[in-house]
Amino acid sequence: MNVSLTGGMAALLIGAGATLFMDLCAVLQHRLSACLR
Amino acid sequence: MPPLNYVLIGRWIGHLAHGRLSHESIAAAPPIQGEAVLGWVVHYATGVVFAALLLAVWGVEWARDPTPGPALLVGVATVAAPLLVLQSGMGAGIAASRTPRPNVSRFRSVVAHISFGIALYAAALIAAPLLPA
Repeated sequence: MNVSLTGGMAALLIGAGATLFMDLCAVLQHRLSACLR
Repeated sequence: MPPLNYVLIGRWIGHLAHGRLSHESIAAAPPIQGEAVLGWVVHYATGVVFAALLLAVWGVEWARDPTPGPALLVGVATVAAPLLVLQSGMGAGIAASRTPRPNVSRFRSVVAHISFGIALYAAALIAAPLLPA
């Protein structure tokens, strides 16, 4: 498999994974704040 | 704004596609059809583009054996995008200068992007074994 395809796959996995991680943290933070109120 | 609400980003991109870069207030701008979906797509596409930027500088080899430094550096460097482009275009001013508490907003942006750097590293650690040899 060539480098560009591997790079594209890596960018997709890492970029989407990191963004998903950020979204999950934002939801968790929002829920925790609501619980503490 | 509640979390995971990317409607205004979708609206900004929608207007951008029609040639309008900046707004007095994006919340007051006319809604764009499909702006919520567009906002989600742009949100994730931006994450992928930032990850591609990381790989363009440090190479695919970084993804096979990730280290935290490059991920954190890209996380922090990409705070320029919201500070200089997004906030300005959406009516908050350059680096949130038109918001009631600009320094609080700037601090939040920087913290969010440090977190994004950590998330890039975590995602790379998980993705590494999935990459083809």
